[in-house]
Amino acid sequence: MSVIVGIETSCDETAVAVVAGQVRVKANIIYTQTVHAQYGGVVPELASREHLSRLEPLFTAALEQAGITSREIDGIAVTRGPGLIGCLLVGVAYAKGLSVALRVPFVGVNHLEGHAISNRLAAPDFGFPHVTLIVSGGHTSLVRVESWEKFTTLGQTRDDAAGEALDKIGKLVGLPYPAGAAIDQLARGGDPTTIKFPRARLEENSLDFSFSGVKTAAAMYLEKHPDTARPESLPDFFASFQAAIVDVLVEKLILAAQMHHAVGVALAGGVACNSLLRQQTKRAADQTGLAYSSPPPEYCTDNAAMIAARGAIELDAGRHSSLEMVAVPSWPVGNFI
Amino acid sequence: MIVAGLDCSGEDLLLGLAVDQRVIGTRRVSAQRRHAELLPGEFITFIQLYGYSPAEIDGYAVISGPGSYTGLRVGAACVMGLATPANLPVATLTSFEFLSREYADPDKPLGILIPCRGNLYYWRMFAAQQSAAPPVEIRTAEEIAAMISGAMRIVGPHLQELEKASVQRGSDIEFHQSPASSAGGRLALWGEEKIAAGDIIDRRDWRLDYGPTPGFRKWSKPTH
Repeated sequence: MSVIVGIETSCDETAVAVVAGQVRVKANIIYTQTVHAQYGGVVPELASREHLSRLEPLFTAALEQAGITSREIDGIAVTRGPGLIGCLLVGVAYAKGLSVALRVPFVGVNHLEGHAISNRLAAPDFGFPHVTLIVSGGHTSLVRVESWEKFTTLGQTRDDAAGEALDKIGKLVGLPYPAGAAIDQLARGGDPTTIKFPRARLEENSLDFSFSGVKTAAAMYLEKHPDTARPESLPDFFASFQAAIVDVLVEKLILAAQMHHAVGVALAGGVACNSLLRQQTKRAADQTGLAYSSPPPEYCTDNAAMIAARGAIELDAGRHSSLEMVAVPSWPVGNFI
Repeated sequence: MIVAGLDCSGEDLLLGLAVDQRVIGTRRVSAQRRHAELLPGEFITFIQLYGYSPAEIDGYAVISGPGSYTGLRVGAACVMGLATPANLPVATLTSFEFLSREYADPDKPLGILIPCRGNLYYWRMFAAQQSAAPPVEIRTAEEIAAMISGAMRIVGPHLQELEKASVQRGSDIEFHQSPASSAGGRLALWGEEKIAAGDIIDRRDWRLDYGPTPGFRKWSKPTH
């Protein structure tokens, strides 16, 4: 049973994990950088500086939590992309150093494939093919998962990621970054029919997304109705805004599953923690006879367990990266390079 | 003690190897912003050339900046990965400390400039016999040219503005392009000295010396 250390530094979470036998998570430690809150969004330069100062203590803590020594490590898996280049570089350089020092192979992993495989950690027997909606502050993609090593992008956002739209509107009313959890909480007490925000469905049968329109509509609504920012009005506002986003996400996920003959649908990424998205996806899956999976919150946000799990498949198959491997800020799923 | 020195702070990648207070190897690789790609492979090839493997290294010396942000981080992260499993000591030298050791002359002031961004340079002027480190300033080439006079040493990239100013004023200025090809070896040697003296970094909270950050734009992306 191979023991793989995963390293994730693609954005503002520094994470190290230890996974044995591809699915057994022995340690999963995540540090969410707080330095960005004052700027209302991730500052790439600060993020990469933070990664550098956090990796070592996280690595030590992960090994301790897993109850292993560095001699028991069989391989290193690291996020190669997509992500912020300065952040990716830190993780990749660290992984290369570990690989040389330990004389074990390392492999660069696609961050989005990692998210898709987080469902394997939660439900190892989830059937194929299924469609996973990867939705976060940086990504909104529909990915067909044919096996745990075969992925195809079916659609993606043409502008803002869903989580990015939520964060930006949250920022306008003074919610701290990231705003997703606070919006979810506020929306639970609101009426989603109060304000009719647009749903961008794009062309017929399109599996792409667009959230810039609904984001602008929400921003303009706030401008025209400044009283909305008052605490008593926010639940209805956010319930309406969140519903407009979730409706489109769920519709397109189910459409993708039907168009591509999937047996199930799954959620992944930070926004997969959203309670409305989970409820509506489960309901829609039940209504259409599709299986449903969503990982627990610790595997939804950026984490290194998913990177180790994805990398373990490659390393167990004898595939690894060379020491010349470079980080790739834009890297579509399905291309092992 | 076997200490490897690695410097990714500039255009070139510098490697060095010191064994028991003696430089045994030094190498300079034209990296051209490809440090991330080249460093691990070049490092292994380099130490193998002298009959060593990574497992035999007892400590590392690395430049902690200022310099290329990306290069600094790549070097530091790679060294951290190399040093972590066996808990090896890591010593750092700032770019100014390294270059002032390389080029100090007891009889002349020493000016060191390190590329910052655009036409800006990190600049430090050490008076002759000066022990306290002067502050780091950020200056344009023209501003530095206006400050140089008399007999002095200038270390940094080749800048026409400085040479022109030197000729115009009849100054006796020695120009040295940094770093010298053999600098990697001395980095390893000085690192070994620091490690022996217990002057090592705490890898659990490693902060590089990024220098002042001119024009560091506060995050102000429009929200819509």
